[in-house]
Amino acid sequence: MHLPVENPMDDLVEYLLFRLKEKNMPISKYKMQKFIFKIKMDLGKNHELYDDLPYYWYFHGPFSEILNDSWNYILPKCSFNINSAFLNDKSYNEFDVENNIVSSYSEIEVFTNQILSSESFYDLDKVIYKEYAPYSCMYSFKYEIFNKANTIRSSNYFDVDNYIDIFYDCESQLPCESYFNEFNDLFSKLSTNLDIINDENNFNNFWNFLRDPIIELWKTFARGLRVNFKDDFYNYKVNLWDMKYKNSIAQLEILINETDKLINFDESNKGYSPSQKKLLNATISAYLRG
Amino acid sequence: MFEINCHFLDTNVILSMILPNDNLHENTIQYFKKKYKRYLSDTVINESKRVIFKLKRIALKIISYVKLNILENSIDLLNVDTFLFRIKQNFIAQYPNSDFPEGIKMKKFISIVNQFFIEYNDDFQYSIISNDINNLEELYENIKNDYKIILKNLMKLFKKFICISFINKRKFTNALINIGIHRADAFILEEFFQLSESLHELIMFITFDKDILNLSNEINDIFPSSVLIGTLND
Repeated sequence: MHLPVENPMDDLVEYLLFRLKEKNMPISKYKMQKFIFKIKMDLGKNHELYDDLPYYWYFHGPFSEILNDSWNYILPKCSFNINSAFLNDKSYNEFDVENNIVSSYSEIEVFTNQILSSESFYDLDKVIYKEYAPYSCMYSFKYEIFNKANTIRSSNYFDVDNYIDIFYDCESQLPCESYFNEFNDLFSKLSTNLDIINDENNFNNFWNFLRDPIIELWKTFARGLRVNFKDDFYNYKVNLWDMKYKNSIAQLEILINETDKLINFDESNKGYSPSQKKLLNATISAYLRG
Repeated sequence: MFEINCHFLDTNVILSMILPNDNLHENTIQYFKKKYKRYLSDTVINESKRVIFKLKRIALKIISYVKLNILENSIDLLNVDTFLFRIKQNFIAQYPNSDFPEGIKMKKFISIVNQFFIEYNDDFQYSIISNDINNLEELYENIKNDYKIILKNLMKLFKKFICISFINKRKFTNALINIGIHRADAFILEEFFQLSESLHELIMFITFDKDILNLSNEINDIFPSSVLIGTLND
């Protein structure tokens, strides 16, 4: 039987900052989000603290607004190195583990040790996407498709054919839930448009124009994701989030429709090959007959 | 064929026009040969493209799903048909509690999946028996490329018709949805009604949609003046 802890998230953040200071490791707010999410997952759904560490999936993976508040609360106890925080010497010396959540839940210390000693700690965000993302397409969607569009100004710096292959692979693993139907249609349209633009040798020329719809594609997906993949704590926000997702879909549609203008659709019809006829029969004919 | 020379085409009629002739009903072939004045709207164009993208996605999803199942399971070669049947059922079961998987009516969606497994049965059987998914990889690549050609043919087709853009007043959409018309079809029907009101000649709505054809009396009760609805397979 454990005594209730007043604010588990505050305690946990301070404890982890203490442990990181021991190892001389500063940490960013972004990484702390992932660190505590990993501990939450390791504790498991039946653990008493699971609901006290509420998260939802969003732009950068699992995110907790409660942790954000805790981080701001603990800021005065920290010194900073660019975006990373470090418990200051005074707070470090005054930290008393007996008054911390870990004294009640020793398993937290075990999981913290495991995470900190793992080589994958440095790639914790990627590990979390691979192990816990709600959909299998999310890792490559975020780290290959979105990140390239978000950071690379010239498509000369990556393999465009491979980029488009990844797009299609994601498409074949998009969610089956009807909540994402409209999003999926936009994703499918963009993948084909990008492929045609590449066929017409215009991908490099238009890359800076194409980046916006690709970036918005991920952001719109993330807005839909948080409606569906969140802890109950955030239920009161669902209506607002749903509205934002639907607005985002409308904006994304405008951006993706703009990419039609980059394509030459006047190419002559050469007739269908037998394999194309087979595909038409398997899909469009079946659609019309069904 | 039709005494009325002015037609507004539904999405399904447009989609049938990109099929090769040997895939079409004789009435449809004859219809396309006749020189009627044919209209469509931006909504019809967008819906037609949307269907193409949905069907591409379903095809890619099925191939990926079959590939994954071949790679992850040990298969009894005496029961390949059963194995494939289970893959198909499990694929459909991924869409729980949804009346509109991928935005398509469940019944229609299932018939598409069934037809896909029938058409590509030999390819799937070969991959399973030879334990080699290279042909499925090739099929996946072909589908990506073939849908680019299908999309281009569709885009070229639109240019043959008079395309009207409508300001969405949507006075009757909810009433149409309430009698069982799908939302996207309700928008299109309302646009057809607006056009029929503004033209100085009679215009007929041409569709293959069974719901619209079966509900033509109810649709006429909703609009303030009567509309003409026809099909090609009579």
